[in-house]
Amino acid sequence: MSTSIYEKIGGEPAMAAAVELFYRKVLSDDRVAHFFSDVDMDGQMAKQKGFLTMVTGGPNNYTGRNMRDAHAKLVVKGLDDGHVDAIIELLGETLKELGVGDEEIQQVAAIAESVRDDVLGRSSAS
Amino acid sequence: MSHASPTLRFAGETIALERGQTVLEALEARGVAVPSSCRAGACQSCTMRAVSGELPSESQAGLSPAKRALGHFLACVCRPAGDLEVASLGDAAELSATIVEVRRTSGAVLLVRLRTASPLDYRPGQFITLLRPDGLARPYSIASVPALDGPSELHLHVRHYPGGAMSGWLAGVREGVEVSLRGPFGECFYVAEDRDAPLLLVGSGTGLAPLYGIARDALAGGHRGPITLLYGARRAEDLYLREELALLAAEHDNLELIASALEVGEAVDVDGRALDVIALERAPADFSRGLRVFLCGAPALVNGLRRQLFMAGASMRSIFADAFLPSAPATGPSSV
Ligand SMILES: Cc1cc2nc3c(=O)[nH]c(=O)nc-3n(C[C@H](O)[C@H](O)[C@H](O)COP(=O)(O)OP(=O)(O)OC[C@H]3O[C@@H](n4cnc5c(N)ncnc54)[C@H](O)[C@@H]3O)c2cc1C
Ligand code: HEM
Repeated sequence: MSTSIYEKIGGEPAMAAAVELFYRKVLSDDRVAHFFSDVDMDGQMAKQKGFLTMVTGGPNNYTGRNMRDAHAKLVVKGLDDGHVDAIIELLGETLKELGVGDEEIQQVAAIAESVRDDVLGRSSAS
Repeated sequence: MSHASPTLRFAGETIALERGQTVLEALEARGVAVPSSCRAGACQSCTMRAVSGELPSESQAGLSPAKRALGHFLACVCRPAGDLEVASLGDAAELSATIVEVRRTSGAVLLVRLRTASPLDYRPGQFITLLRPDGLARPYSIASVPALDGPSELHLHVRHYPGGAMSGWLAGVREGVEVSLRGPFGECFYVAEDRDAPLLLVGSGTGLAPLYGIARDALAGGHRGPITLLYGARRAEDLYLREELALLAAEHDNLELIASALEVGEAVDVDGRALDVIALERAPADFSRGLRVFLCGAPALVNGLRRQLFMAGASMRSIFADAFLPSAPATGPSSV
């Protein structure tokens, strides 16, 4: 089996730095920052770590809620395709800064794409 | 999946939990007295222990790995998804202490000295829950240092709010009265590693209490890097502990003091800018030198500055913070 992008970045220890990089980008981006403005920054970072681990193919031990439930409240607040595009874009920038190649960034984006309908709370496009 | 509401078991009783109800609310609705203060998962006054069942992860946020392993959790933010049996930590978790002295100083601050019945194993900057004889609970940060002040001596700085339940009581309490303590809690303290790194301590009002403890602890532990203590009050005349701080700075070349007040008045040596402005001006130059930041006091300052420093490039792991959340009244059915 080929090594995952998660392992290539440096696994668990590197995730902490990756999460900070990603979270800083998200909070600086007017398109999506308001979804993340919770004062509980530690809680938010733990969740973003779950996000990054999942999309980079890290150990499949995500035990949180399913993607639909995790984002249901955000859908009520107007979460749409544009927001998903923005998150995938910021994810790409983060990985690039960590030295991940374009091809692999595409693979990660594809994993994020695959849950787009769940995140947006709609039945998968037929 | 079952849609029956989960049940809570406590002291032989079974309580059906309402949707979204916390363990604290459910117990209070039954007339069970659980110490609590902030009701937001921060002060740890309401720590309980799970006997069986699964705890939601947010109910253990901020607890040490050891306490998590023991099943400790915060009742005020615990909304169980399934059946849960809980117990109180019991009197064993409480330590009795005597109020030795309450001295009033500027800024309506009470300098409180307690002597614990046995030595308390704590780090300066952590906080304890102070329990009045009738059970009223409030968290306070620790300004003393065991190695310097003695292992059974605890110093607190309590801002006296008119009408404040605990601070008003302390303002008039007789010396010699017995109280109880829980804790210590929290991770806002100095660790003796990387002794050459700069430290930035920022606090408003009695946020100075933990910072004074942290600064003395670091200096006593041989910290060599520059330590900047940036503290403030709204009015310059409300600044307190200035003599003690000046003495400490005179003894240690690596300690720099910056006092700030928005209303400077006649005061000299007081910076008229807000604490966060001064902190943001100074901190970033030290990020690459391993700066550690300690933030204590008013929640708006602490949470705001934490976020601003993070956005300016500080790692969250280099920021230690305690927001002094006010106590929140009991809500829901239990309050009627
Ligand atoms: C982790 C932690 C550490 C803390 N450490 C300290 C400490 O070292 N020193 C310290 O003095 N406090 C500290 N606090 C706050 C402390 O726990 C109490 O909330 C505070 O002393 C007020 O309690 P009280 O019973 O006197 O007032 P309460 O009876 O709870 O409040 C009565 C009234 O007092 C006024 N009041 C209370 N708090 C505030 C406030 N923050 N701002 C403006 N008005 C207020 C309000 O009018 C309120 O209605 C800490 C809190 C936390 C969560
Ligand atoms: C593109 C695919 C996405 C994936 C794979 C994904 C994944 C995740 C994961 C794993 C969590 C953690 C849930 C938990 O632990 O409870 C989470 C939470 C969260 N996500 Fe996403 N996410 C995606 C898109 C988005 C978008 C587009 C936004 C907003 C712009 C967003 C905002 C959030 C927020 C705010 C939370 C925290 C929710 C809470 O606090 O309850 N996510 N996401």
